[in-house]
Amino acid sequence: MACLLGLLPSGDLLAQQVSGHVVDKEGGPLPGVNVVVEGTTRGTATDLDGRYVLERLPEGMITLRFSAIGFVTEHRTVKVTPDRPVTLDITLSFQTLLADEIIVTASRREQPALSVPVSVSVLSADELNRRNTVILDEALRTVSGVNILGNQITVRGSSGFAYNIGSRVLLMLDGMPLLTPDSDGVPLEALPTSEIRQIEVLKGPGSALYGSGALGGVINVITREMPDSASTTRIRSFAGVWDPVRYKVWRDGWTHGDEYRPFWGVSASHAMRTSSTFAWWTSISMRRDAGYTALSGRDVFHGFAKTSWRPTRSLTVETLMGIMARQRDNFVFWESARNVLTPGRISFGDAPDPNSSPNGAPDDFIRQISFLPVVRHVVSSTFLHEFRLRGFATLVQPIDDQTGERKALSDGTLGARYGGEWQANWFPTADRRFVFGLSRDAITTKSTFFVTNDGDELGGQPEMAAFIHMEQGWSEDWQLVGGLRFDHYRIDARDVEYRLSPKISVAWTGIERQTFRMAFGDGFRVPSFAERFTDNRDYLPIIRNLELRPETSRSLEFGWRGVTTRLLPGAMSWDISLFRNTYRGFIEPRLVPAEQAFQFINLDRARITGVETMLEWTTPTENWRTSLGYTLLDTEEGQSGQALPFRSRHQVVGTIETRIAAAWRIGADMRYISEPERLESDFARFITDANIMVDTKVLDLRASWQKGPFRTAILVQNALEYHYVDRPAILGEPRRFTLQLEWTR
Amino acid sequence: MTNLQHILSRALPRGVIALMAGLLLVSGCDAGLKPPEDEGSGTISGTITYIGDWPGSADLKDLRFIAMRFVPQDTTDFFRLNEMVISEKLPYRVATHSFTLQDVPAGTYFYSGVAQKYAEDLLAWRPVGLVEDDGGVFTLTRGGTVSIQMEVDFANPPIFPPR
Repeated sequence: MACLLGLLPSGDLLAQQVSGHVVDKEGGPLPGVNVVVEGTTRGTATDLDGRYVLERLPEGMITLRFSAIGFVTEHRTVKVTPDRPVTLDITLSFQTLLADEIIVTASRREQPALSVPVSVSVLSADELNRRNTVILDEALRTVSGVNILGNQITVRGSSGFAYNIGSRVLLMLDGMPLLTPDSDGVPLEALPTSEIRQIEVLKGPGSALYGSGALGGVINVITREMPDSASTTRIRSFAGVWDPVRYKVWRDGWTHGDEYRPFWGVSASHAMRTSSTFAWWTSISMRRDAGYTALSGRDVFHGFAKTSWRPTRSLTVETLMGIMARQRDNFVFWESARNVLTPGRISFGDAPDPNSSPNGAPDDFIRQISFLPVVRHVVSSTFLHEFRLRGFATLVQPIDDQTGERKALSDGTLGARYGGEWQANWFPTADRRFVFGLSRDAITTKSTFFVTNDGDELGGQPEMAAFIHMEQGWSEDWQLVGGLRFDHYRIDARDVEYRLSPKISVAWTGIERQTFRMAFGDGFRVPSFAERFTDNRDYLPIIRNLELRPETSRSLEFGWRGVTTRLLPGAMSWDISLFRNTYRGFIEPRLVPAEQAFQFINLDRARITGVETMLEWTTPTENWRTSLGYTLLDTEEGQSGQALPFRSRHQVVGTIETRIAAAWRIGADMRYISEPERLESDFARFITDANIMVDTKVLDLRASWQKGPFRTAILVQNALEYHYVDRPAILGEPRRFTLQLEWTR
Repeated sequence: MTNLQHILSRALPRGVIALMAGLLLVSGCDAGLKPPEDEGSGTISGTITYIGDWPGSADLKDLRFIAMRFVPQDTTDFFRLNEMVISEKLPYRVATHSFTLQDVPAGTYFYSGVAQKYAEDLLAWRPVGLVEDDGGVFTLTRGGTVSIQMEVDFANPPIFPPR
């Protein structure tokens, strides 16, 4: 009996306890809040009533940390004595993931995503990592309202299928436009995906801030920040295989059709603060992919480095440098729907010799170099300004189909985009802000693909712009935002374009943690070099059009964004938008019979009306994370009244994640995109079965395990082995299995 | 935690899982893109009889037999290369010529005949003789052979586009 009594806790031990309730600001109990004794491994979590108890604590002063996803972490120091138990009740302030997000793209300045009066989606580095994102398009496909057709991004239906030339979405790296000089679609592979802090997707025209190219939206890829103190090192690798396609007929059409085709990659990065004034990070990565069709393999190498030097408290100099080298086969179109793994070949008119006909797989070796220095000077608490320089160079060498050797650069493309920008942020009062600046850029390209107005292969497109963005609050609840940008483009020796792009938006935040917005803005896009000057019959027959004019857009949007903790435990956020975009002079490719070739021309008008909804829910302890997005598009081509070609009416994206054990997480991502309403394409006249499209229904599954610095994950992408068409005459990615390993110190 | 929150916190994950499971089931039944049925191929055996004089070399850049799976409405339809069969170049200045086209995709061909390229312009093609039996329509079955005859009179070509 004495022994049994000895097992019972003594009165002293009972006394050495801290207990209490954790509630939110509305007084609601918060389950699952982590309560940890700092400096120890002791801890617990609150129960369904928000109650916690910590027993057998050491005597003396201890600090407790209360943390939960979606809430501000609190620390409390209490004195534990053997005399009496301590009761400590805590109220956690709500801080949703959405509210945590600070974005810069909407106004060229940092601001909370919740209060932005335009539609913005944010992808965090964590989300990219969880999905083993090695190319940006894999992540962007999960964003509501965003679709990828080949290497072209379409935001809310702004683009259809345009033969991989031109883009209506402006891609930026750390706020600087990244379109390559030859504008071969959007150079998603040129980005250091392993070093991304977040990706911001601005939906709708952004030309009032960013000029040409931001017709349908802006994607701003923001690289990681410098470490605060100690160094960090991360090594990440992945390897996997493409599953052979489902149908034997397809597999039989290609020598390697029955094989599991491998891919792998490795990246290493190191970040270090060498002093209070200097820090840097560097990253190298390599990826090799055998491809799931014939002639679709690629090797990609990245090297990036960023330095930050802060000689004084008010002056910062940051420089981002990068190089990308890529050798790829380029599968342009299939042989037929019965032979989707082999590239096709076009026979034009009286050209029966197959060797003289355009081939579906032009290969090339590309190097891209980036150099982006920024000097930021904080003059006072209300005024800062910065100078940005930017330089991008692209070198494209075609690869001889017969010998596999790289051809000379003179047979390919040498292009550069370079320029600079000055921007000032002036906040004279708490509710009045100005952002204004000037920019100057030039694009030069020497390419055998482009023939300019005077027949010279070397072309230049100097651009100049001045912009101003104003924010004015006139009560606690109302905010007015306006902006205007003037752009001047010299397209070639005889053509100059001027554009004024206005925007205005109003936000009302009269209900706590909710924002109602109305936004109106213009966008425009000067024809890219490729659209205007490409004159080539090597692959697809395309001829230049010197009369091509800029296309313009006008957008009106109403939106409602908010977060709440009242409906569900944790944070639930939503964003609902109604929008109407009208376009003039839409640039679309059309067949010119007299030339037996395609040409980019200006269409009259087009209209896209739509609804976009996004719902996210995260539990306080991140045991569950769910998101669901739906986009409805109603499109109309002005003259015909028909739907715009290659636009899908419905898009659904969904994610669910849960923790099944302390170190294990599982998740699934799904996306559904309805078959385009209209498939009209001159492409299908030449390419067998290029008029076949189907719904896209893709489910990705993942499981990860993390212990200390190690993380491993297994991913099954397109788990249901659903076959779809990525863009006309290209089979979408089949099922693949990936093993990912990561070590971070 | 309110009762509503309690109920929703349990119901929502299950609902989402049920939704995704439903999508799985729906998607599982639908594998998406499938290879179309192989229509097979057959053989076209043709005989061309030439009437009247042949044009001069300057007006005879090319001559081919073409079978179309549609009735052309204008010259831009000549670009529907996926829906037509084109022979090798036909011999010039002969009275008759017989040819055989093998591995021709099976199906119904609505407009077939001999086409002359009369200038360097890529679109300078015209029909000079058509298959007229059965209204010019014939169906090629898998493994089958279709025999066709046509007369070519360069001086009196068929009306194009056909009425």
